[in-house]
Amino acid sequence: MSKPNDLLQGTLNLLILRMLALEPMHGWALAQRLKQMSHSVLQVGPGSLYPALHKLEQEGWISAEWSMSETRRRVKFYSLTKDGRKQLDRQTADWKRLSVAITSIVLPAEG
Amino acid sequence: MRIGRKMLLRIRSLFNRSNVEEDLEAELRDYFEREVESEMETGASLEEARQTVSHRLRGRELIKEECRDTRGVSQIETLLRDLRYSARVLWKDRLFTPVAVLTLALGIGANTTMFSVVNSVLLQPLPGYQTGRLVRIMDGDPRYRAGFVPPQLYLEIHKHNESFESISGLQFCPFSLTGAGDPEQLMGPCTAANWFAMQHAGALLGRTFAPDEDQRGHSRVVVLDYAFWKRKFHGDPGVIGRAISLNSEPWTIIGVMPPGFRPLGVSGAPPIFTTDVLADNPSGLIVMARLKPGVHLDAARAELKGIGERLARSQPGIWKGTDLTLAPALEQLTGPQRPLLLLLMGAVCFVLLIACANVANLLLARSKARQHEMDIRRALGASRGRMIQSQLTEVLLLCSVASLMAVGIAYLGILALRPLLAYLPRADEISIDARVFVWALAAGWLATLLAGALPALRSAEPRDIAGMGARSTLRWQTSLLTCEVALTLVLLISAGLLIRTFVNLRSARLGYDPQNTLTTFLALPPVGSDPASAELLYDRIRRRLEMLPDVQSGSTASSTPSGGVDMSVPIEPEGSVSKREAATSTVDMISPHYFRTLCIRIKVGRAFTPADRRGGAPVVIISDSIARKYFGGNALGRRLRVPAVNFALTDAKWVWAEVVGVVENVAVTAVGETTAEHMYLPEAQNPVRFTYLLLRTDRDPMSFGSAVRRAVYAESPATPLDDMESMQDRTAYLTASPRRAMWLLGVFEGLAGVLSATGIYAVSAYLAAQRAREMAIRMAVGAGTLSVTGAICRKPFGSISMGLLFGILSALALTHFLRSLLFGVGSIDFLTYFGASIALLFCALLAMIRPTLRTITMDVASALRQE
Repeated sequence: MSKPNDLLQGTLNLLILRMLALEPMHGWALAQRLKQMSHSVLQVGPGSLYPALHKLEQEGWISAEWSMSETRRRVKFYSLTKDGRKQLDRQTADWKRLSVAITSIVLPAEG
Repeated sequence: MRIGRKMLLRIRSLFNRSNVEEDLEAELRDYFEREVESEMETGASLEEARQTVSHRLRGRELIKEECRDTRGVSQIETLLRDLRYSARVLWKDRLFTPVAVLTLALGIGANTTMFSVVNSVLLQPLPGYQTGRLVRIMDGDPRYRAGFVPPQLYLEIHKHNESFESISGLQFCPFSLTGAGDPEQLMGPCTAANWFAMQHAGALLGRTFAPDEDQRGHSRVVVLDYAFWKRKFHGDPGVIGRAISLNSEPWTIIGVMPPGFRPLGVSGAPPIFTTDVLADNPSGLIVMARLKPGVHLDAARAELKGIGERLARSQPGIWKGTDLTLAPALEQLTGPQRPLLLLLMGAVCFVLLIACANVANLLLARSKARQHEMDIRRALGASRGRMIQSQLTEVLLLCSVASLMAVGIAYLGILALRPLLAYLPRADEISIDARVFVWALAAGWLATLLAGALPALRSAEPRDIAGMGARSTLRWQTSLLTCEVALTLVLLISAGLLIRTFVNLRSARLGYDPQNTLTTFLALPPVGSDPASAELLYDRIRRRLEMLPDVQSGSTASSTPSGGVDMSVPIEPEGSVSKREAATSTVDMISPHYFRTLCIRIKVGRAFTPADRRGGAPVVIISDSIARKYFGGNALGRRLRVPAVNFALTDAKWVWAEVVGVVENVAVTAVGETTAEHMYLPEAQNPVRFTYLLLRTDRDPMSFGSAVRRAVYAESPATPLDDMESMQDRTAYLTASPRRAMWLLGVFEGLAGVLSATGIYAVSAYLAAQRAREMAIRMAVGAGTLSVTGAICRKPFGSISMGLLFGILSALALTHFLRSLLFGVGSIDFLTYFGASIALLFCALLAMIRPTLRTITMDVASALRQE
């Protein structure tokens, strides 16, 4: 199981925003989807997931809503806000720059 | 927007605490169950799945805590929890809490009371339209007193300045009002036509002056003050357009001012406002102006100075001494009171400091008793920060309650001090507003830090070595006691110096005797009276007055030592070179018995006699100050240029008069300040249209009022008389300022004294109780009462002595701020310092008696059995 420390600082936020850009979902589904999309490389436990979700809600980038799930349980669905979408764009751009930079150092082009 | 949203979420999570908790729980339960389900899909039984997931999700509470933290609720919640806890603890402590709250409330209350005075008088802008832009223009020319500006200069400034939007001048004009009820003597500002416009003041009824109404032939219009209109015309709106008779001439009432109108440049509430042809006015003007938008005060000041210098260069004969300055209207009004108010503000800050030291001491003593509780908290893992925080919260609660009480105390304090404050400019505006509230709260927070910081830090300190903590707490307590004593002594010495001043003032020589003297003022109508008939009338009134029983002597005079119709002329002895910039002398026209009535001693020569009459050789009597300065002390028979004053005081020819007498100087501006120069002319040679009546009596002068009225009425029924005043009241201004300072400082000093005496009592009682066992042992092994008393008193006595020493040193450094208020006593006065120290020492010993007595009379056996 991947500890939050293994992720780059702030990356979890980006991942959550990215997931929620697909569709609104609840915490567990988000963790599952993340695991599945990263082919089990990225696994986030509730200990880092929920504080991160609450933090993003506090920032106003995502909003939460309670509704009944298919199994008649109260479930908290998170969705991306307008602010959150802007934030996602910003963080995605940052990420691109960063990853290109890191790649060019760590895996220098042959020749 | 985002911040607002965040706040909303935080507050929501604060108040919907249970909701949020439930949500958090539900969210995590959902996660848990889904995990269990997915575990079961891999083939595990329900039981197994639950166990695996539980194991995986061990830190469930930790997750919750972390979520709460990101919501930022915990700090506010901690504070609330601390407050709740503090309230419970304080509520239960029925001894400490009332004493601490009361002490703080008195300290903050005294502070808030004084601040509400300072706020209303010095800080709040004057009522009216942008009064911050209004200034008074003054001329420092020594020939004109109190910054009056000569009319020609006023016109020059009018013409040449670029700093002012409008400039307006005023004088005070006496009027006899007849034909509307009783005849009445009115004194009101007579102004340039733009005076109201400059203040942006509109009339309640009718209108104010039109721009051309200060031109010759147009100026017979009157605006009434609201209170006067109510009193004299019963608030009749029909007065607009009506004619009234002022000085026997018809004037038209054109308006009534609203009740809240406060005229600028004028003290008190004048009854009427009239226009005046200022250029015709022989005396100096009070000049006010409104700065143009964007013009800075300093720029305007520089421009004025430039105008004065230019004039002095072009016509040095007239404008040589011109020195134009300006001051904001507010500062001009309240300037003289500023030092006293700031001094008192300083005094109440001392009182607050004493209160804080007291409470800090109580807290230290209490934290000793709560040591056990602190140890438990620390053992349970409370951090140092948390413990300091919770302690400070407790003090904050105390101080907040005290702040609220302080506002109430300030309200009562203002009521109680009203008689002492009534003399202040803007006294009627003194009140409690939002700023005072904020001040009280701020003082409370400051007190929280001052009183709470040290005890909080101390009690959060771990008790590493047994007994060490106690000893250093003790050291802090005695240091606080030292501070308290020092602060109190400074206040005590200040109050003592003012008391000495007051005693000196009471016994100071004024040059005249204000006791048993009655004064009043009368003016004859300007039309239909002439010098000859006035002279006869005054003479007949004097005769009538002197015939009254218990009246020693009566006289008439154009002025009195404590003010009147001011006329000043340059002093020009015969034979000396004419020096126009020479000092001026006031000129009083007096009747023969004037010096006898006021008990002014004749040093050489004689008083006036009925022989010094109209058409006779001009004679003059001068004050000793003139005789010494201009005649080398030998003035008798020499000649002096004096004005032959005209009946309406509008113009004077100059004549040479022979000096027939020299009299003692009199104090005018301040007690002991008897260098003012006076010339006295015989009234018979210079009768004027108005005069003061002065009466020396054998008993309470105020009881002669109606007799005087009857006497004057019998001679001249149409002549209005002013209110009667005793000379004693009229001279009160000379001693008023130090007297009020003495009383106010005395009140605060009394408060400080009580507070520090309680402090001394508390500390010595605490020390005695702490050492009870030790003393019991000493007594058991045979120590005498004396040695036990000595052992108990040594510590508090030591810190009190230190306090006295520091107090004297601080007083030496600080009392020079008092110097402007003192008279006949230096700010470093051995007797006061010594007396104050002894008085405080005595108080301290008194406070130590009870704890000491309790120790030496205790039951040794039971004291030993304790613990």
